[in-house]
Amino acid sequence: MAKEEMTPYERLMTAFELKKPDRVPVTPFVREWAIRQAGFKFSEVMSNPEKYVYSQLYAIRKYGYDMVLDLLAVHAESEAMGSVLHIPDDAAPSVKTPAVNDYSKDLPKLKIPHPRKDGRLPIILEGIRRLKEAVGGYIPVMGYVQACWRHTCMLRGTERALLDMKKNPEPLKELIEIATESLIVYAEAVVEAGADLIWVSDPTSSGDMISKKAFEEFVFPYLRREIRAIKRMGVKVFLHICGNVNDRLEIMADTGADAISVDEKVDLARAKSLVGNRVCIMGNISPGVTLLQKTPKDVEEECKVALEKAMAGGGFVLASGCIVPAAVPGENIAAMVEAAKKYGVY
Amino acid sequence: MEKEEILKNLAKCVIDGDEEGAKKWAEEAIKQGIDAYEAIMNGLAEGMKKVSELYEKGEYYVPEVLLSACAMNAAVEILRPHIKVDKTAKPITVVLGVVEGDIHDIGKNLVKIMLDSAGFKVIDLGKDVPLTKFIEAVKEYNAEILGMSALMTTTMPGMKKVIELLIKEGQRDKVKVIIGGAPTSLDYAKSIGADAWGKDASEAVDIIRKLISQ
Repeated sequence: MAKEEMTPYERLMTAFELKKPDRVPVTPFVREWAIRQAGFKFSEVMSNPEKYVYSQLYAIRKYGYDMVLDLLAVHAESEAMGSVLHIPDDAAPSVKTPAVNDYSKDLPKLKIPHPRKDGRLPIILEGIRRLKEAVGGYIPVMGYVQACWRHTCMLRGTERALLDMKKNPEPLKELIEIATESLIVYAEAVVEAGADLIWVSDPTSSGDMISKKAFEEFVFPYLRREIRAIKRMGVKVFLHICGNVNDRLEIMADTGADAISVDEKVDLARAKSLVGNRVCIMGNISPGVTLLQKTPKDVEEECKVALEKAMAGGGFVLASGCIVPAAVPGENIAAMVEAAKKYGVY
Repeated sequence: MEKEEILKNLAKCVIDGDEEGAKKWAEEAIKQGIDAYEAIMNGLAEGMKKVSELYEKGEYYVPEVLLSACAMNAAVEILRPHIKVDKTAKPITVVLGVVEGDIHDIGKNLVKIMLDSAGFKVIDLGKDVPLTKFIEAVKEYNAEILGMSALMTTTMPGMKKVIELLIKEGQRDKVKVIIGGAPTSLDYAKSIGADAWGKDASEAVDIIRKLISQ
């Protein structure tokens, strides 16, 4: 195996610039997995940035992948605007009561949150600052900002937001507008806290949920605005949409994101040939099947195939298809990292 | 107007997600003396079956399915009071829920509508249901049927655990277990020891009837 010549920071940034690093960067999306590895429960880190940061540092030192992650995807942006969370003892939170019930009453009351004051946002920012202090410049620090459509769903309730596309498109668009503005304000604070790259994610806008036409009407214009605004802050952005996005890969690239991250419903070779000249491709090791239920040997095999399909010419990151479940065996994450080192050298 | 035509219109309104139309034809059905249960099962539910097919084929997406469910719901509300029930017969009790960690309940809600319409007594535990709560509900309501769903590969194993708990608590032979949800399959249902698997909501009533008559 060739000697590693780049730092994880250089490696990921090089891939994001569509060039060839020393080897393919590897980024399993670990949140609850790292929390459990460090011996904590999810509910503990929801209000304790020290414990969360510890879990990230503990796991990356032990397993040696290429990115640390902030306390992502806990709907903090939506919580800060009035949605009430359900926080289980040892699982990710969900929105219990959305902020917007009656459009005419609730829309005028919505405020753009103050990132340093409102809800849990200061806690998350504190985590980013600490991660940056600990590993900044050497390991890239990922800061998470919801995609505007996801934020909208977490403010309105997913089912109602989807139905509003048909029944109340006008007030829905006003809500997406407010959601987008608020995310740009929050993203600025995330960047200021030290994030090197921003993860924008949306599990509710794939082809499993909405049509391409609905995506073009209710998602794309706002998402492009959000991503472009974040890019102007001087950081890299990667856009992750779980599920079948085969019919909208080009539109995802049109948002201006540096990278798009896909799960196992997308063929990496196809994604690479379709948009690989414009954006870095990230993917797509199955978290629920391969990482959770299979052996290290199977993980290695799937990683090898992914690398063969998409690493040529640079601009590829070996990533999990979505967030890694807490119960994934450590050996399987180790196998993923090893595969990148074994088969991903340029 | 012919009965067949009214049933067809009910189905069409569900397919088109036309709530007002569905209500109008539900009222027309009652006015014409059409059996309310038949109007639901051979009209509305037929429409919903078609909606499932369109979703499978990628012509419909979730907003369209939800809109159809709204139309169906509105018409069921009108028809339900007219369903002829045998007051002396005890209705079959079904406990329904989406397992812990999973908040995707659109499919489960459709199943509930179908079962309600068919005259079952449905105990809906909702979504993100703690596994032990299924066992408690089965005991408390003396349920004949337990229906569970999971929409994520990470939450699917919860259904297996519930079945194991049923065995441990000595309840397994008192209740029939049916599962469903996008990542599940007949093979998976068999592998965890469930009695049946439903591909989609439209199958639920038939499957449960079959299970009960066994």
